[in-house]
Amino acid sequence: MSGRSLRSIKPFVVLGWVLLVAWTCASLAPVGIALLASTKDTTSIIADPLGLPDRVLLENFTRAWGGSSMTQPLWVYASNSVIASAIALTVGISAGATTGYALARNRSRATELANRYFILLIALPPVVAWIPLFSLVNAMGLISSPVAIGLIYSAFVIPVATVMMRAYFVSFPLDLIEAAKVDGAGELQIFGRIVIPLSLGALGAVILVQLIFIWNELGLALILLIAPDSRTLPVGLAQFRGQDSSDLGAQFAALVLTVIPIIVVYGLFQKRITEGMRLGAFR
Amino acid sequence: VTKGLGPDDAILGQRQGPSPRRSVWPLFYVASIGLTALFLVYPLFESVRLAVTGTVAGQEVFVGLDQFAKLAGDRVARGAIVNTLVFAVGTALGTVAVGTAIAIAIDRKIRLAGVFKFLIFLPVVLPAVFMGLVWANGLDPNFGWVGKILGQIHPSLNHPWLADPQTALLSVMAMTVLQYAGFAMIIVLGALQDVPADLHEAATLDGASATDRAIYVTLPLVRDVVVIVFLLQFINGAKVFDQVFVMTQGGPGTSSEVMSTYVYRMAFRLQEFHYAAAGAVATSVLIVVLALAYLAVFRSRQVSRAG
Repeated sequence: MSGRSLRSIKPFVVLGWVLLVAWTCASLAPVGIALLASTKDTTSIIADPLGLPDRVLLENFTRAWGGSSMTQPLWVYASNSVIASAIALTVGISAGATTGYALARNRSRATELANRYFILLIALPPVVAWIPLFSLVNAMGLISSPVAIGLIYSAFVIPVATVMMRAYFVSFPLDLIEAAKVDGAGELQIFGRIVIPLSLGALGAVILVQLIFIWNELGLALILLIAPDSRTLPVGLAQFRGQDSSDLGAQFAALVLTVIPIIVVYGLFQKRITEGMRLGAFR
Repeated sequence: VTKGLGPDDAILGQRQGPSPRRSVWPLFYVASIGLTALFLVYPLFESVRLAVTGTVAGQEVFVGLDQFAKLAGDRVARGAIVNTLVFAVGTALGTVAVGTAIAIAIDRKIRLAGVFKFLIFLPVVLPAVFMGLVWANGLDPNFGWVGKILGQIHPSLNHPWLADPQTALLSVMAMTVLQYAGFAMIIVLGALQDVPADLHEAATLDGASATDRAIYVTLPLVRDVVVIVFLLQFINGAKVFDQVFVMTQGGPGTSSEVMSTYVYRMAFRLQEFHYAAAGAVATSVLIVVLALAYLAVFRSRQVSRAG
């Protein structure tokens, strides 16, 4: 009876389950720990990091969001992140999608070369641009400007958006475009009125993946956003390290508040995000 | 029937409009070329210029490869290059191995497959700064929870992982693998699910066991994908900055310094712009050369297998 059913359990299957459960727990441990710690006070975080709170301290979140004598208000970082992301995505995606479309519609040696140019830019390690970008932004008097960094991010978004959208537009049905031409529509009209409305799925995937990239970006923001009230979320959070840690509860609450939007976006659009990253991998 | 956009479409374009108008196509390129030229291409060339010049008495002078020679003679820079390579190869191997194993486990059409896929990919979209800070707190030698849990397994595992120069870089690598294995999983899983089911059926009819099928049917088909994921993870690893910056700042001492943290420190802490630019250029050249060499080796293997 039970001997038979036990024998039918294959060792590989058991091993697979152990791996899945263990990896899920270990890789998501920081999320659980941050959630737990965000409801506790500093003393109990230090004394009993894994224990449940005596009382859930939601005040940690209000202190993190509004700031205190210890910390900058998180809403300042969050609004800087929103400004930088909005500019980078608006400029980067519209520029990239237009260029990707033009590259797909006009296939010649020149546009193949242009495509190669954008692929090369994707491969460029950001570290090589850091120092000149700092000097450039400094010379323009735009250090500590979330708007300026948004424009710079757009330059990082454009190559990816161009290459991915070109790959998508190459298989866009030509019949629709021909029909619009017969009706006398110009290229700009065709692009804006017909092609874009039919490509929102592909655009969405590119937007989501790039939003995640910008929301998480640390290096450039650290270099270009010096004034405390100009920092984006990753830079603001990175300051916690080595800082006086007398309000750990609020720090963990700030960490939780930073990742909640990403988790929500990921929860809503998981398929598009994973598909976008998968396609991005084979550009 | 729909047709893809082809070269013949250019002819259609010329027919358009009653009078020959100027083409609108250049408008489609202005913003993309302009912004990337200003914020990516110009900085690239400027970095190269900085790397081959230096300042003597406030004047910029051409110094050729002197900065690179200085880099090669700098013990910390050499350590940073070695650390970068160790980090890139180690995290690429780790994420690809674990990601592939997880993909195979999920591909068995188990219950909750969708839930595991969702959860294991989740860390990939979270900021490395977030993960790094929470792990660094957990690894605190005085009150960290990681040591408490590991100490239950064996007392010697309750170790100041980030504070010990021997284990600092390894710890950051381990955290990186934990965070990004989900990326390799998604890509390999996609390839696995592209393997036609009838191939498996045919193999089963021929008497192949599940293990045989994994080795002789599945693996060869996902091999190419695994090779690409490894390369992507290697490149990402070679660019690493965030995790190291928040978890160890390159320390203790310079034991976990990688190229990007070293360039950052040289440029923005010590104002050594020319020297730091040389470091950045050297890093980029190294990444590109290694990536191309890897692809060349892989392609030649493919050819020799086919031939």
